[in-house]
Amino acid sequence: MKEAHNVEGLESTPKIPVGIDGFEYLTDGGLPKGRAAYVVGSSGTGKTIFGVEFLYRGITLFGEPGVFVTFEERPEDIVRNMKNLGWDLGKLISEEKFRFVDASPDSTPCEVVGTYDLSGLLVQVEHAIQALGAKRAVLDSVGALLYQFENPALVRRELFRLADSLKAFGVTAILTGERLEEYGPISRFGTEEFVADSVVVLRNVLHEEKCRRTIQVLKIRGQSHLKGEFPFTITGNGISVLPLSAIRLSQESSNERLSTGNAELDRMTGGGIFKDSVFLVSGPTGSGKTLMSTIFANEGCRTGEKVLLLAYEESREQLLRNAQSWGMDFQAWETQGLLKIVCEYPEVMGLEDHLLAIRRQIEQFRPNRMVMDSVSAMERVATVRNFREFVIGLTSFVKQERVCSLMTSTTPQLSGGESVTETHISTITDIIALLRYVEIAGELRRGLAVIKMRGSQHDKTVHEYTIDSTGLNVGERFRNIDNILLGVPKVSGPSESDQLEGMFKPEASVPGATT
Amino acid sequence: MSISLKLFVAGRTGIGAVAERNLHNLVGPLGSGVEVEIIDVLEHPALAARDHILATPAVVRIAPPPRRKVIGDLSEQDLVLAQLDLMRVPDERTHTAQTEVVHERGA
Repeated sequence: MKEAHNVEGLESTPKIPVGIDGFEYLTDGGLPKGRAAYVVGSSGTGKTIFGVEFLYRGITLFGEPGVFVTFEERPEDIVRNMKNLGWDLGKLISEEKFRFVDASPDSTPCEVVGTYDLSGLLVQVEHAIQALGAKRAVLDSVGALLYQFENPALVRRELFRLADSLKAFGVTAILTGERLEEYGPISRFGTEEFVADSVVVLRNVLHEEKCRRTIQVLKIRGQSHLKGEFPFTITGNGISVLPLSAIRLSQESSNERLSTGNAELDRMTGGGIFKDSVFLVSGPTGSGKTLMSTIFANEGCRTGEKVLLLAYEESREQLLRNAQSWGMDFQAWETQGLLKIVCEYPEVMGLEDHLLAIRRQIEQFRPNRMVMDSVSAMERVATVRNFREFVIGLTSFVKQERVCSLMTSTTPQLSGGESVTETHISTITDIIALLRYVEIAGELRRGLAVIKMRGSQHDKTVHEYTIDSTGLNVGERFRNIDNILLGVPKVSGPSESDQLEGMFKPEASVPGATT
Repeated sequence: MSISLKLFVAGRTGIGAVAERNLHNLVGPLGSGVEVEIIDVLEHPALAARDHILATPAVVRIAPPPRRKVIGDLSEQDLVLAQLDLMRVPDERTHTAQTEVVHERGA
């Protein structure tokens, strides 16, 4: 019979940081120290990588040796696979920081005659932990152990015994396990999760032909944690969790303004755009968005700023050639290290991977400005939710890093029309400029308006603009024409105020003044 | 050439002791043709690792081939003998296996 325990003066369980990028946000600081966590997922969700990274970061970041007990894969295969992530487990083994317990299936034919237990396994694990002074352990995977010893009750009992032993050694452990459905029962056999204090679910969901990896902290006994699924990705360096809700709206804002590269547009925005703003340029194909982003990039380089140009719709050669035709030498900027052009097909990876790749570019290149041409290209290869998360993640990051960003967005119809992109991101962006075709008396003309400029006065009129070999020329506002942006333009007669104005000599126009 | 077996137990008490006794009863009648080495994994964990011993008790036929394993308390002799391929004891003179009824089995 168990004795009544003395429960006075007990402290709450301390946490240990896992060391996997972004995971600490989900667990509010880490996993309970000296306890077991159960990481479950269907085939191919990254459980083994999670386990190895848990040990790898434990060693390299926190100096905690680790033991990896493998019930399925051979140690040599794991070492080879992890080389792809740049992790040299062989070296850590020779340094006595990492050790395998090879519990993978033995090829020796084996029969069961009578009762047995898994003391052999426990002894091997305890021996390895003591030899290394290990503080972390991984058991990969429970299902494979059940496959070797087809006795669920026995395996469960022995797992409890093993977990107790690990706890006695003060080892924080991760057990991995399989499940068959992404949104079904937690685990295959329905019992494994009760051995553990924490349960983490990895998913790889196929939705509209796109694969999306998510991680969910289902429970941590005695501790708060973020609820729900969060996207993660496996990069060339390990796992990266992207907890968007952890990004706080706490950016300080800047009063400094930058030039768009076009004097008239600067005027329309009330003196240029703020340094930490996100500028959305929207228009149908051929309306001049790429030109505007080219001018914006050029202006940055011209003033000695670094510019990162993300091109998803044109090749580098096309971009250089087009810029050259407007008298802008992108090649020179590149040579001087002021311009970095990244061209990608959006289809090559999922949006989470794109977001990470862009963040890495920004962290390495440290640009002052960024151009994304176009953000609609990303929208086309993702679900609505994915895309919105991507835009939030990207805009939060560029604001945090004080990178003045311009994003182009393609409207579906030539006359404008509703763009799904804009529905989602217009509230997030700070400045919106619309480029539209205007049909007047059988002629196709162009109209430009700044319809939003957070934090500043701006010109609220629609101006005509032209594109020629000299670039973008913003002209006078359209007069006597209604519905340029909102529908079919209609010529109206001169207004009474205009008629009166025409009777006197016109004064020089004042910025921001409306008639 | 004799058959060598290794019996892995976790401590010399409990089911380890039962297995040890059962194995002794089983191979005794087979004479000097079978050698048994008893290994306590609690004393020698490295030896458990070397032979991939997860479950105990476990008896492994080491040599000559075929390599075979039985886990459990070895309570049913027929099954153990069959699995470890001990039904035929090799003749030392001619080095060939002879089919020989081990008349003491089941005793």
